[in-house]
Amino acid sequence: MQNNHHKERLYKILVIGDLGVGKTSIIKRYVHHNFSPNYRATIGVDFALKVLTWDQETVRLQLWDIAGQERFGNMTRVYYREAMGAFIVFDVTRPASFEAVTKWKEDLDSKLTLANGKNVATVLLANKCDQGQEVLTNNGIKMDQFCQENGFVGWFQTSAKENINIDEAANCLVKHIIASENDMLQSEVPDTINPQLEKEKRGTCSSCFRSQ
Amino acid sequence: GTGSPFSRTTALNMKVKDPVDIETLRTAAASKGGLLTDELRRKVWPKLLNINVYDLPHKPDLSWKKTLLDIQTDMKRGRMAIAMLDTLSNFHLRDFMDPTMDSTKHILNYLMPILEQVDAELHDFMIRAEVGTIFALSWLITWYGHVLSEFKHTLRLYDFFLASHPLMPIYLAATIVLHREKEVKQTECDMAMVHHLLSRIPPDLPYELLIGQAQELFEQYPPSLLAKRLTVSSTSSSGRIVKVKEKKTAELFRNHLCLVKTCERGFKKQ
Repeated sequence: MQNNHHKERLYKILVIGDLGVGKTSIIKRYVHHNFSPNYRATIGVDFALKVLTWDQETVRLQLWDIAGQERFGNMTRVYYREAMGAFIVFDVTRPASFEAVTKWKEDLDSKLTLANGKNVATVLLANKCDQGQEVLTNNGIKMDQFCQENGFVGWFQTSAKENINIDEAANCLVKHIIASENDMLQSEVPDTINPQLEKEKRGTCSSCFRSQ
Repeated sequence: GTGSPFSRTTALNMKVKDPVDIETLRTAAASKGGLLTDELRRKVWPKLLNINVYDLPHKPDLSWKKTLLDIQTDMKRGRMAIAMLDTLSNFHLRDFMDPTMDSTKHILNYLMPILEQVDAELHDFMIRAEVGTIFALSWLITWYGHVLSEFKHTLRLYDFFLASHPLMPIYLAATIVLHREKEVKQTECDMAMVHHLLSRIPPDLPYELLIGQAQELFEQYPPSLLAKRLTVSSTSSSGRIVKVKEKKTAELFRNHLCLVKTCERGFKKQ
């Protein structure tokens, strides 16, 4: 762990949420920079790789696209293993998909905890914000409150179609993942020093919340 | 010999005339090239499923009707496709219609024992990678329609599957994995990497060869033999939900659009 800043970081990130909220489209936009209006449900799981440069380090993100269908739930469990972060996605035009968010969060936390027993960093994505139906998310303060109550490190209004806030949301998640990783390293090996990264407390990063 | 496609088509057309010899049609559908034309498929597929084309229900049951409303704009009539999917959902695809995935998981469980029989080294590699079998999930549920880029390949596989045992799709999955044995072994022995590799089907697979190999595997290692090796117990077939739920029906329709499109002349071709 001594050459920490030369090491290549690989983070596994889960993308979960109800059927048809745009998980695959978000990944496609983020990784392949495009969007297809044709919908095809994901069956099982799929993943894509995104390479970032982060503070002069190479960071590889393995984005796991988990099928939204409930009945696949138990089958996809194995793919949660070793994930360091998650996006939970809902569709702003479908209130039911927002109601399911807490269910997805609980499910995630029950299947996955970090080595130090904490939950993985999770960012909430209010997708399809280009549709002009953001009734749900108009009240930013309420959304912030919802995130804090439910253990999300932040939330973003996103549009995979119009490429809105996808990079920002990913950066927010990566920042929290790195912070929680450093947290763990420091609690495991007290003399490890990570001079480049500011230590941050998880769960209170208001800078990630979208300013209205 | 199978002769030229033209003479085979003529010969097959003769065979479709009543009374039909189902075994002959079955052999034709599974043999090289399959049923060759959509015209023949429209005639033979229903016969393989024992559906009387002159006696189709005029009013499909409600669950089907609801689904149809969703896609009716594209389709003039859907009775044949409905009758076929209905039969399929109670037979070939029955295991995928359960509200839980237990039966589907059970079928996926046949994959590793088949691989173990043929290529123990490949099998062990996959076990070490802990890749699981979810990469083949969509192959089974959609009869490969979800992953194949070429419609003609999907049609060819439907000929084969309609004429075969319901477990044949998992034998084909095994032949695809075995066909890619070298690629798999050269991949990093890691769940993500192997899953990624296998879940993408290359565009140029030799389907006729693979179909033949799947048939050989099926004969050599029939399901009864493999069943002894399955580690996870299956749900018994009794007490399975036979009634197709609305939601599931819509999914079935989406997953097997290939069949709908081929059976219904009114349906716009891709």
